[in-house]
Amino acid sequence: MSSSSDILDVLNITKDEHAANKVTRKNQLSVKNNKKARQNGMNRELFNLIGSNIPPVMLTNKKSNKFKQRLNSNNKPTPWTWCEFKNNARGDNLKLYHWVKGSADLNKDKVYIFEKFNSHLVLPKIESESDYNEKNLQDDDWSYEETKYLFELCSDYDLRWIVIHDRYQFDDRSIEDLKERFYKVSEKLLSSSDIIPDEKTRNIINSLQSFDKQKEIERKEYLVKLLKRSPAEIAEEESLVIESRKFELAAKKMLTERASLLRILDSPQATASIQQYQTSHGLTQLYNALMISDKHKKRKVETPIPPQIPPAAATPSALIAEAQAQNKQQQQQQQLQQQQQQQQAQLQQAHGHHHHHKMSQSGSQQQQQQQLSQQASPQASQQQQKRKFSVSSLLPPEKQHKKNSNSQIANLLAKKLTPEEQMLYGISYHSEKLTPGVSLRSAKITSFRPAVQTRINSVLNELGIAPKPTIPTAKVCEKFEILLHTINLLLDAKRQTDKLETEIKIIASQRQKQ
Amino acid sequence: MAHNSATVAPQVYGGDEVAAIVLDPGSNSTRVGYAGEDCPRQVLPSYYGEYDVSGVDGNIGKRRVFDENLLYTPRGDNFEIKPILKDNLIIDWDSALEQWGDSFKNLKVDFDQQPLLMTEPIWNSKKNKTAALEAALEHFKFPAFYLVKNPTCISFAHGRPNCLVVDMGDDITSVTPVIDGLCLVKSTMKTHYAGKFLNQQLKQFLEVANINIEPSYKIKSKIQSFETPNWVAKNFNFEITESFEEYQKTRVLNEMKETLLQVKTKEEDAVAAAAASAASAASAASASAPASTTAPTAAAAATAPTAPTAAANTNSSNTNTNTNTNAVNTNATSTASGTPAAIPDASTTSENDVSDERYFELPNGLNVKFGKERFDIANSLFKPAEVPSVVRGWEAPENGEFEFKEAHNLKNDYKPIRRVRKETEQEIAAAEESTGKNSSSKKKEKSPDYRGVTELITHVLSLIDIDLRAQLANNIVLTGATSLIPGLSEKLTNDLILMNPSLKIRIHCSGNVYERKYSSFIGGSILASLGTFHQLWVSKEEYQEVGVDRLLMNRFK
Repeated sequence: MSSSSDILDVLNITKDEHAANKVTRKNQLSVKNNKKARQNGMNRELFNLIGSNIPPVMLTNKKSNKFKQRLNSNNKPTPWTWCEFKNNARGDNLKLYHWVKGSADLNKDKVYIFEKFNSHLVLPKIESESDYNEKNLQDDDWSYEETKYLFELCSDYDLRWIVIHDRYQFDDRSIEDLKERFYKVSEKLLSSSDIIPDEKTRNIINSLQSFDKQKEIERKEYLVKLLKRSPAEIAEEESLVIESRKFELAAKKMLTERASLLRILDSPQATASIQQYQTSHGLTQLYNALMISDKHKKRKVETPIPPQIPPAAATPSALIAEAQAQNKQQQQQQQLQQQQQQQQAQLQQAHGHHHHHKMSQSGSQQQQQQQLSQQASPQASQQQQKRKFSVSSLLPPEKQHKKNSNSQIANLLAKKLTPEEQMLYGISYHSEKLTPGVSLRSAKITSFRPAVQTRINSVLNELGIAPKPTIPTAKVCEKFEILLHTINLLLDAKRQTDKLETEIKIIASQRQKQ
Repeated sequence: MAHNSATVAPQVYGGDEVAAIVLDPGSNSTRVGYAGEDCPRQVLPSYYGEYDVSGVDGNIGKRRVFDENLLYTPRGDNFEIKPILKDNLIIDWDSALEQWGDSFKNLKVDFDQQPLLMTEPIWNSKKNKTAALEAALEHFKFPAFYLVKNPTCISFAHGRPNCLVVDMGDDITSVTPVIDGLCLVKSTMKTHYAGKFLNQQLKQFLEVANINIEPSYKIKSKIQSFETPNWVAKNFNFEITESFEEYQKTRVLNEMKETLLQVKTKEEDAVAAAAASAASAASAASASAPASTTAPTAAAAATAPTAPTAAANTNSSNTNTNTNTNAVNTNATSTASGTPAAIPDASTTSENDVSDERYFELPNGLNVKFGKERFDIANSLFKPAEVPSVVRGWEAPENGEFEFKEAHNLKNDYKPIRRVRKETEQEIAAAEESTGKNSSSKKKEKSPDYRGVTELITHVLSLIDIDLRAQLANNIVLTGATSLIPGLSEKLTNDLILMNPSLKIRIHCSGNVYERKYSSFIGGSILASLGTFHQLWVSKEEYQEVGVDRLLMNRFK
């Protein structure tokens, strides 16, 4: 059991005797009441916690009691006056009252601020019936009174045609009727005035003339039709729109893809002039440069290949550079081939005198080179030339010769065999690069797209030829290739003619219908 | 005038208070107040009580009372309750003037300085307009006066100069296109399928069930009951007139209408069924818990936001029903004091859904059960043709079309005679080239006999010029106290979208009950406190110079 005194003890507070004495009479009464109604159980515990009946208001020293300071302002509040005003937008002298800032005298001569919002359209007017007749405004369908009534309404409602039509009680007229009449009459009124029309009025007249009642009616009919679509039609239309969007997107995507493909495929156009390569000296220089770069490349191949950037991610310039590099390689290879062919030609020439072929070979080569270099650049040293050639990849044939010089067969192999010899030995030269490893010749036969292949197969079937040659000798394979290509060509031709025929039929039937 | 920084478009504060008085008489209540305030100062019933007074010389005179409390207190001296307006038109000018006079006195109107703005329905007659002008400028001697059409006010209250105003009041449901704040009179439609139509159906429902409505003034004491009413009547030693009795019954009916009716769409039905099964599952899950109030708490949680109608119903002392909000259509049955709590059952999601039931306690303590009638009656606003029994007073079908009797013939005076012949020719021509003419307005198609709200709006939309149709369909303003029935605006939107697939329908209605009930007053209040409006007032001077006829022709077309 705990009481307030216990709590005060814990908190090290001595009971304020003063406060206890100050308990008012009312409090005393309530204390007495409390005593009468003895609390027990939980309630008593709670009351004990509250402590003696100290009023909840904090008692503070009166001297330190301060209120918020009064607003000490010298500014006088602005006076507002309830005073009358006249609105000059009105035709009469109605005086209404409103609150204004400042005294009434100050606001006496002020113009009512909302007057300026009283604006009207300036419309042409029909002055009188004689005026109406003079200016040839008559119309079989419209009387003077009705025209005048229309003009009144137009100025009343500032050409809000829908409202004008709604309030029009003279006759049963459509909006288009009203518009046509008003525009026609206004046009005549404007153009018939004595003053020569200025730019603005001429424009107005032109635009008035351009009103076409029939077109307006048609336009509205179209709109009505548009609004009268059934939900199914609307849904269909929406789905069509979505479809078309899809197509558009696909087309766009295809175009971009195609463009990027073309960019990759396109051989880069030579931008620099080829003047410098037209002389033999220039050519050799280029050749040498290519050799060096080729060598670097070959070395590079041995080093681990860096991850290749996908073409899509590569920038166009990078792509072009790549393509140029490829091109250079191609050029190099071509040149190499040319060189080899030259050498082979020389070899064939020197075929007769085998015994000193090496000497003559090297000699003739040197001679040739010297001649070339002398022709190209007399100032270039012969030594340099030699060194370069020893380095160049022209070496392999030379090496071949060195190795083969010992054996007859090697000699035989080294020289170009005549077709008869090739037939005899069953040896063939390959123009294309061979894949390493063993492969079947029959596997080399060109295959087509599956669709085309099946058709070709069926043709072969018809002809009683197996889809793959049974004994695939080189010759058979060659012939078989030719056969396949011819079949393919024929099939293509057939397809084209079929297509054209159907087109012709369609056009013919359309013409017939028309 | 406040010109803000360059980024914000300079806006002109167009207000200029001239302390105008706004008077908005409606068929159920008349609203009076100051312009510039957002709520009427006084909402008076559009009814008055009249009793006999014996004069000094022995003649029997009549005295009228307008105070709402007095109208509910029975009197002996032949106390009759009579309406001031019918179909939003003032039919009893003498009492109207007396009522307004009282009201102006209460507002302490200074008739020398303050102008009066009054609202009028589209179908207001020339006679009525003249009477209004005379009343304001001659009888009350206001310095200036103006008559504004109700839909214009509503469009101002919603800040939409171009809109289609759908006003569902007590007597009349009207649809009016408003263009630039100007009403299109010719394409306005109105029917009587409004508040009173619902009242009558409720009344007939009770008649069929053989239940008498005993108004509260008769009841001395009562004991709540469910089968037979158990109550003690007060004894009056005077005779109660029939009109007084009717008026008191109407009060009960109004309460019923406000608390019971609800509009339900088919989709909502499905949602409700799902919600019911979910709720029952939830209560089943919590059944194991020791708490004894599982079902009611679930129900209370579901119905947490109280319906606006309940809030609006200021004097509903004897109702024990809660109306659900239209947004969350829950199935929780109201569990107000005294009503047996019907705990929703998952198995009964059929047509007679227990959860749709409400009890209404009549003043005599009898609790009347309403099942699907709550929805059927509310739906009659949409499908008046499908009301099972004939509604007395609404026997003749209405399709919304109405003839202007006087207003239309304003221009008759200078209609040339030869026009008649021309017209027939034109019509033949029109028939021949029927493609070129707007057939819907020229030749009336075989219009349906009944038009519910949806059909009415659709029809008005079809009458509007095609260039504006889409815009107005996107700006439908729904207002009037009858539109406060829960679920009504949702169903209206759904139905309109179904009926007008090619239009983008959007309904604007204020969530605030007072804005919905008094939007016409609010609009008038805005209008009369606009600086630019002050040039429109018809002053006494103008009235005397121009004369009533020309004024009506030029100013109040």
